[in-house]
Amino acid sequence: MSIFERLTKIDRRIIYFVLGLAILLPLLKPWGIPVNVMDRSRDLFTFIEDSTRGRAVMISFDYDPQVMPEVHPMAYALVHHLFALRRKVIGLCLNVQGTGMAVDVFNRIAAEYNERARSREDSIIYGRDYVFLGWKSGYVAVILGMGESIKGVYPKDYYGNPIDELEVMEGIKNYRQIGLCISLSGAAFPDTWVAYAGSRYGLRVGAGVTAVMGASYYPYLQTRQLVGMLAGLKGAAEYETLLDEHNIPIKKKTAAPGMDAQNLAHLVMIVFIVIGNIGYFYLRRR
Amino acid sequence: MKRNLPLLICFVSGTVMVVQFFIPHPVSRDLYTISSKWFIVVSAFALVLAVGNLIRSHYNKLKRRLEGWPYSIVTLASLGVMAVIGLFFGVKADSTFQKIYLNIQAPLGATMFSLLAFFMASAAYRAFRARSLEATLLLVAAFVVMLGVTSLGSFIHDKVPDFAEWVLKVPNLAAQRGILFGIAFGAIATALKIILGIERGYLGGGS
Repeated sequence: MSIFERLTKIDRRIIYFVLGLAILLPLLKPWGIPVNVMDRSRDLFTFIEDSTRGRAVMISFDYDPQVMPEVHPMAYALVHHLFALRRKVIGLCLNVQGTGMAVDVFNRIAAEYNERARSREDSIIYGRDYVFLGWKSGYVAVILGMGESIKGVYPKDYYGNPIDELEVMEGIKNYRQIGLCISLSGAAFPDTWVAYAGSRYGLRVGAGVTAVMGASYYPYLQTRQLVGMLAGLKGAAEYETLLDEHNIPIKKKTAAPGMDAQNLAHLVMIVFIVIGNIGYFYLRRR
Repeated sequence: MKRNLPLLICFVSGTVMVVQFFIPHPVSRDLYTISSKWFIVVSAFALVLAVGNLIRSHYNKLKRRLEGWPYSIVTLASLGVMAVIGLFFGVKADSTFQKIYLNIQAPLGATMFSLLAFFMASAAYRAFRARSLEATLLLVAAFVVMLGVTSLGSFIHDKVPDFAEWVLKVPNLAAQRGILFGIAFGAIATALKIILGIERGYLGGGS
C-alpha cells in the first residue's frame, strides 16, 4: 500500500485516539484562547438587558442529559444574568427529562448568589424571585394553554405549592406579562414556541440549541421571530464573555474552559479531512 | 362504526379548531380553552398507556427469554426504583431522586451523545472528498464555518468569522427557508388528509 493510499485509509482507532488527545489535553491545561462573540448571542443578551425591564422572563428547559454538555452551560449563564438583573424568572419544561436539569441550574445559581448575599433583599429566594413549574404532557397544549392562563395549565409548581400563593407570580396571568421566553433545547422545541406562543400570542422568543441545530434557526433570526440565539458550547462561552464584559461575575465558568478543547478538536477534524483529500487527489490523478 | 367514529371525531375536532382560530369571539375562545385542557388530559392518558406498554413489552421479553432479556430487568428495575423514590421521597434539589438523576442518568446520557464527536470525525474523514464542484463548495463552506464559529477563525484572520456569519446568514438562510416552506406545505397537506379521512394510518390495524 502506497503512502497516499494509506492517507485515505487511516484506521478509525487512530482518529479516535488523536481526537481524544485533542479534547483531553486542553481540558487539563487550558490555553485561554479569547472567545469572539457572534451577533446572535449578543442580540439575546441585549434583548434581556434592554427589553425585559419590569417583566418576567420564562426559561423553558426543553433538553435532556444527552445534550447537557452543550446546553447546560447556557442555562447556568442565562439564569445567572437574569438573577443579576433581578428579573422574575419562571422555569418550566416541555421535555420531561429537563426537570432535573432545571432543578440543578436554579439550585446551583441561587446558592451562588445567596453565598455572597448580605441581606434577605440581596438573596435569591424561591417563590419570591423565581419559580419552577415543572413538566406537563402535551407540549403544544401547554404552550397554547399558558397563552390564556398560566395557572390554568400549572395550578401548582414542581414542588406542589399553589402558584397563586407565590409572590413571584403576582400580576402574572399569561404571556402578556412575560417579556421573553428562552427555549433551551436539543430538539425542535424553539420552533414550537415560535409557531404557537410567538405567532399566536406575540410572545418574544429566544433560543439556546446545540451547535448542529444552530444553522437551521437563521430564518427565524432574520425575521426576528427569535430575538437571539445561543448555539452550542461556543454560544454558552460567548454569553459568559458578555457577562464578563458587563461586570457580572461568575464564580465558576462552565463553558469557556471547554472552548480550547473544541477549537483543537475542530482543527484535528479539518486536518484529517485535508489528509484524506490529499490521498484521494493523488490516487485519482494516477 | 369502529372506524367511522374515530374518523368523525377527527374531522369535527380538526375542522372546529381550524375555524375557531379565525374567529376572535368569546365563545370561540372558551371553546379553545376547554379544548386545550382536554388535550393535556388526553396526553396524560397517553403517558399512562406508554408506561403500561413499556412494562408489558419488557415483561414479555423476560418471560420468553428473548435476546437481551437481562437488559429488560435493568429497564424495569430502573423504572420501578425511580418511580417509587420520586413518588414517596420527593423530587427536591437535595432529594435522592435528583442525586440519582444527576449522578447516574445525566453522565450516562452525556457520554452517549459525546461519543458522536468521535463517530462524526471518523465519518467526516471518510466521506468528505472533493469529488465534484458541489462537494468542493460544501467542503470549503464546512471549513469556513467550523473555523469561523470557533475562536480559531479570528486567530487566522479577523475576516474569517465575518465570512462564516455571511455563509450562515445568506446561502444557509436561503436554503433553510426553502426547506421550512417545504415542511410547512407538507404539514398542511398531511393535516388536511388526516382531517378529511384520506390518511388513516393513525387508526392502526393495517388492512
